[in-house]
Amino acid sequence: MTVTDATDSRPAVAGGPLRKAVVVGGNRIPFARANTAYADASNQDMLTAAIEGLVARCGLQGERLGQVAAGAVLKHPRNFNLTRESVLGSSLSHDTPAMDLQVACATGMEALGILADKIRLGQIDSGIGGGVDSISDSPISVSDGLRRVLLRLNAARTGKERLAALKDLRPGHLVPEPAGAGEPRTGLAMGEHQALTTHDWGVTRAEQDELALASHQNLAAAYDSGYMDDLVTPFRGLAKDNNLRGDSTLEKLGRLKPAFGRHLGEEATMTAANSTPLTDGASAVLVSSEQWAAERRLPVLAEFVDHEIAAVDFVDGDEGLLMAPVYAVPRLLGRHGLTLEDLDFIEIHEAFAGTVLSTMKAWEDEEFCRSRLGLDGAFGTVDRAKLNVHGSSLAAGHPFAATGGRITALLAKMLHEKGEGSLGLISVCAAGGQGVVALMRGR
Amino acid sequence: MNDPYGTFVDSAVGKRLAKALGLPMPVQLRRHTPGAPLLEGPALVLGGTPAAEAAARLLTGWGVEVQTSRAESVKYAAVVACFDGIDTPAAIGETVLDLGGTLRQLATNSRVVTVAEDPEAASVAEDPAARAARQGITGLTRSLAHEMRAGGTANGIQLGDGVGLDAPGAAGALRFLLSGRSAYVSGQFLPVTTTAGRLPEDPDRPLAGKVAVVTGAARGIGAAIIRTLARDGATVVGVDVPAAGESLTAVVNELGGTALPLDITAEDAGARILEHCRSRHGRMDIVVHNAGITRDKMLANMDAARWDSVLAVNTLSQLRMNEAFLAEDAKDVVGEGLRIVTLASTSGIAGNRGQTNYAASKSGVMGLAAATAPLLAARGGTINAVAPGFIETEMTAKIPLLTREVGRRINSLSQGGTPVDVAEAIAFLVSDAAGGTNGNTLRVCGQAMMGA
Amino acid sequence: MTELQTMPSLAACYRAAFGQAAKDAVTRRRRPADLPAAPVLVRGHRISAESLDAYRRLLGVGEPESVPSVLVHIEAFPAAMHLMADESFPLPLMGMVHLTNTVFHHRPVPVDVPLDITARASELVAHHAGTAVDLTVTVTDPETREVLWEGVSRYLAKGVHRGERPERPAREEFTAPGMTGQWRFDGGAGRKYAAVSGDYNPIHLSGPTAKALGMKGAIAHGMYLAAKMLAGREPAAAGFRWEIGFDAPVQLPGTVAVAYAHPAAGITEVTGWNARRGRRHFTGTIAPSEA
Repeated sequence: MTVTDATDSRPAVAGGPLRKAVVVGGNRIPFARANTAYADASNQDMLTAAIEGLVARCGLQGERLGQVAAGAVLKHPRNFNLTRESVLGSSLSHDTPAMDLQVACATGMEALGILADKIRLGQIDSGIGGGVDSISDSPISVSDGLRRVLLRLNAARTGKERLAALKDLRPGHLVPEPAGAGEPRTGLAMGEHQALTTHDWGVTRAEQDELALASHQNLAAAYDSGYMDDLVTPFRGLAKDNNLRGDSTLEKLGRLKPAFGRHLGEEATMTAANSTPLTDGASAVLVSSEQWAAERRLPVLAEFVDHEIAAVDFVDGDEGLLMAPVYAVPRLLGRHGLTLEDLDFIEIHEAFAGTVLSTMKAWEDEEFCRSRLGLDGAFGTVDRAKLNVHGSSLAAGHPFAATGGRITALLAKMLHEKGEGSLGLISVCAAGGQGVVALMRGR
Repeated sequence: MNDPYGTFVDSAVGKRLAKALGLPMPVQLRRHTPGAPLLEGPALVLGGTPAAEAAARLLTGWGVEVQTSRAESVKYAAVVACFDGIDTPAAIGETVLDLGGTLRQLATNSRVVTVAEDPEAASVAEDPAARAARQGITGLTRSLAHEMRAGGTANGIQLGDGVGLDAPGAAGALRFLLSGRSAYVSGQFLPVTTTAGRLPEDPDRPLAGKVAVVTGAARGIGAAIIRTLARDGATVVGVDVPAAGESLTAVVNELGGTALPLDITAEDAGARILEHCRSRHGRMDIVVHNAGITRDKMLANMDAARWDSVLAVNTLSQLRMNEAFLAEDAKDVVGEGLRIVTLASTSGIAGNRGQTNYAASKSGVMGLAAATAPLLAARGGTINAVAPGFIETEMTAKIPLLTREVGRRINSLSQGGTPVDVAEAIAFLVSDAAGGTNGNTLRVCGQAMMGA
Repeated sequence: MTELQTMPSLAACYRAAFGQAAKDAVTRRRRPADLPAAPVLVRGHRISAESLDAYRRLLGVGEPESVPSVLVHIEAFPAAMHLMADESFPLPLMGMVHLTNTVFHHRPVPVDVPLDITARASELVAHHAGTAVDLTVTVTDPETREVLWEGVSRYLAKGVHRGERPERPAREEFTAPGMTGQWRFDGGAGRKYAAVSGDYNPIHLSGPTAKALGMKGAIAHGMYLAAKMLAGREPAAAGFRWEIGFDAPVQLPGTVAVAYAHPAAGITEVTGWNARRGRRHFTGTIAPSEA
């Protein structure tokens, strides 16, 4: 960035200075465990609802935004333009462009990061970023065999050709193939991967159950105090996340049998309660330039300062599947001259309690930080009083692509309340050994 | 609207049968549509008084054909009967009989408006004859309202000391009572006690430039209110409990305003509404306290939870919010001329079995409005209450059929009102054209027998 | 040298071997003591694009345009089977167990190009449980005479002893390494691999057919494990070797825990085992040719 006249109104892409991208508001629908409240809702229904709630709260009816960027991890082929279709179904101006993108569980974070960058560059003034996922309405693929038969049948011109195509049909072809939650290159479910990482880092069952309990208690308290009122808009009769169990206890959690890493026998520690359940839901966050927000009298909650994407080679167990943020955060904070101690709030997406705990243990491990992260010593310790203070995915649930928006809106509100200059970090791990982390500053 | 009887008697067979049996014959009420003429026929102005002259001038200005004496074979859309300046009951008769002679010439959905001076005015407090004359007009008007047929209504304007019919508030009241906006208002009086107020430049957008807050805006009457205020030009802020956020979102996005999910019983509800209006809209001109709940129970079975929650939501929350709105530190947002309307109920007037809590809360807000009125008057604002009667809503649709039939028929219009009818009365009362009316309760009940 | 015009079908080999075994049982024929000296040569065999497609669909990986190593084995191996099924072969084909496979994949093997394939029985090896035999298959480019691919498969004829009987080696205690992946094989895995490889040995196809041959149930093809082991990991430029040694068979349906490790640069060691029973299914190595 070159030093330019502060009054230079040219966008950065045209030689002007970089602008600040700010978070103006956020909204999500309550998250619902798969096959419950949103069993009949489609991705488009949910994403539209999340956008509509944001539009209503911010008064954006008929507004033409720079871009709406969102996505879903599990998506029907017919939803190829999911986000654009949601925009067309919303009260935003139908001249608002949209894009679908997908970075697994970090989809929402990457969407917001891209929009923030475009705003900084002056290419757009405003945008909504977010995501949606539905397990209940996830696409089911037909088998390869059936697909080939159908394609040939479609191409057949004569009855004879059609018969010929049909004769290759086998009963086995009719068994549908549900979208798998496993990593294609290892065949391991995400929970199985995390079980290995959790085990490697010596994370105990008690630590995980305590983290899960805190998540439920903190989120329940947030709902009870009305903190979620301007972050959530009810949908289909659901007013709060139905995975939330504010009355859970360590005893109850302790009774559960391990759900992942059962091959570890006695050393298996991951249960259904300290892992996120499959969830349906959607989120949307409004980001803009400061000027755009001021012109519309919209509150500036926080600045979306920067984001970093990382990946690790998990395929042969060189690194844990969900450990990419461990690498991304030191790089992100490093280039801003910050350490963990400088942060006021740290939001680490609770894909599994083990993920959060392994991440923190890795940052505390001198040898690991030296050899893997290239640091001089341990990266630092996360102050637990700053961690996921209003609960996270273990309590709210985790509709993959919607989680980034959930956290961004929440953290923006927290930072705004904390005050000008407060700092917050978001860390979201993702399938494929990826992760997106972001830095935000309170306004 | 689910009114099978109304639909039946509107049919050819139904009409004949109802007539033969002497059953009530509701007609489709004339309601306001922007751009439509004020009246669909000529108006007759009777009395020959200063108010009559003013009425003729106003009506002509509003594009209505005015006659001052009855002509044979003319169907009148409205009659304005003026009784101003009368100081003895003996002087009423002439105009009344003129009026009576006109009744057979009234068109469907006609309007009769009586104009008289306010019997409560200080100037006649110790003048028995004058007060008897003025008060006599109320009995006359109410009885006439009962006699009106085919969707016709009769209402009165009561002019305060020193207030002529050409005062903005009086002219505004006249226009409201003649228009389709007052379709379900009958047998009622609008006292205009001051010359405050202003007629709108565009009568179809009387709220242009105003920021209006409506509580309980997500559903039912609240949704109709916020829609009507938006239609009349206001920028709307919809408030409702967070749990109603989905419907609130839909309503607000349809109108282009902002949604504020909020529990109005929260200690800081007023402050949060102010802050929202301050930051998002820069001002707040109108507040409609519509949010309310019922927790019906016979008093013998009443528990603290039912009693307290109804009072907390329906009355106490309004007291607390109004205090915040009228506080010194709110003046940057509220400015002068704040107009508040609170939702009362005919239950609050007549009482209702099983509704001691609800009726207490609703008669409470009428008292609240009356006592807050001087505070608002001091700064150019007003506060009034609207008491709906039987209104066709999702809630009344759940009343058992027979009870519902009785409820919707025992009024002078033989039908239930719609949420829009309530909303229109509110939209009038929060407009500057109603600036002369303060601390009053207006019933929107089709002159229900209940609470008469 | 026996020269064949076309690659023999495995089914024909199985039929011949089955017939021979029945005949031998009746006639009490003694099998010859020595390996046939003459190799089998198939000239001009082409590996079709359809075969490659079918193989890729099964393994679910997109690879470079050349033929994956295990598919070369699949395509070339009937030549070796032809040798083993012959009456002159010293060991009975029926009931043979696959012990190891070692492949040198020198050059990329192109699709739909004539290849010369030679199979010979290279060695008889005494084993504590019987007698093992090495079958060596070589794939050569007829134009350049360059050897593209060379594989040695060792099979064990259980209970057939010829002279010396080595001691059973001490059973090594298996300690499971850290799991890095997991392969799930459904009940139809044997049929699917058979459709791609042409190896319709009944022990792989279904529970009943396997039980008919004295098995507990259907087991996965050993070379299916090799194919999975190599999927997505073959260097495009070839020049690598790989080997696999089989232990306990994989019952179908079943889940194999796998561990990929990299003890030195370019070298991958793979272990497959049953996580529940703690029994090893195989160990394998993928390495550069020269390592």
